[in-house]
Amino acid sequence: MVEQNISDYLPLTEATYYIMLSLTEAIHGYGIMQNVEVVSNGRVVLGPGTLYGALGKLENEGLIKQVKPEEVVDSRRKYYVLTEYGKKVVKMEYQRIKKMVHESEKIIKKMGGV
Amino acid sequence: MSNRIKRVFKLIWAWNEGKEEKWLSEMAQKGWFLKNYNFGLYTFFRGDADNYIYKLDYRSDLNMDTQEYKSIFADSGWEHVTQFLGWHYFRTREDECKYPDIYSDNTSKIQKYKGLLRVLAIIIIVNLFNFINLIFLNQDRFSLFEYNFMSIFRLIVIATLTFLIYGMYRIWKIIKNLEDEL
Repeated sequence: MVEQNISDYLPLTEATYYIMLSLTEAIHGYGIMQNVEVVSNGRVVLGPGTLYGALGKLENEGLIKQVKPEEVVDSRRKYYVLTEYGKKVVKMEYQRIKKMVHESEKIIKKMGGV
Repeated sequence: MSNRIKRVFKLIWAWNEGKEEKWLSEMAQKGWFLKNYNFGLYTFFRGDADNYIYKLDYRSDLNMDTQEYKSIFADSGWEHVTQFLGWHYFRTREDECKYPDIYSDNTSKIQKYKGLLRVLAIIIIVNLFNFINLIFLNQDRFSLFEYNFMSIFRLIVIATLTFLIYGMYRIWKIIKNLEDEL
């Protein structure tokens, strides 16, 4: 795996951002789906094709890795967790979104938009 | 033929998969459920008519984790029906599914078609290599039979190549349309 500039990975898609947010602790694919729905208040629903594709891509890029938790609840399923590098990427994306919101806030308020 | 099994031969190309998915749903509504697909041959089993959504996925990855793949789909309510050359057929009960598609965004849908495009490109390159070989083949010592045989073979290669390039064009169009929607 070649580590590129972190900013090369940004912006993340909405699905990828929420998948990564779910992986601060090791969970399996279905756990990610449930977690994303909870975190986004039911707004983001992941299709299984989207999730499987994203997991493969993130693993190839070294942003997440497969782990075997000590207490394996379900041995048929794979467990994933963010790598240190993945944590950096998701934090950077958070900063980027925050900056965008901050920079546009006044203008949107002026429009009477909030 | 048994009235519990129906076999239908039908060629539907990758760029028409929406039609194929719709057709499989219509068959299920008539009580015919897809069991198997092989080179254009669909095998249906008789059952109680029901509303199912069918979706096709394509995975070219040779070292893919099939068990993990199927379990992620199964966990979200999609049953793996059959697979053929990287194409996976899934179905779900229409009234029970949370989300009516196996892809929830265009970015991941594009990824699927790019995988397909890559495989087509490889097949074309291999075919092109065959074709170039055929052109430069010394035919001076060929018998009439050999000469005719080679002519037919050459035609088949050209037809395959043309078809594959057309297929790539159609799939490229699908990708373009998805990208425009982003």
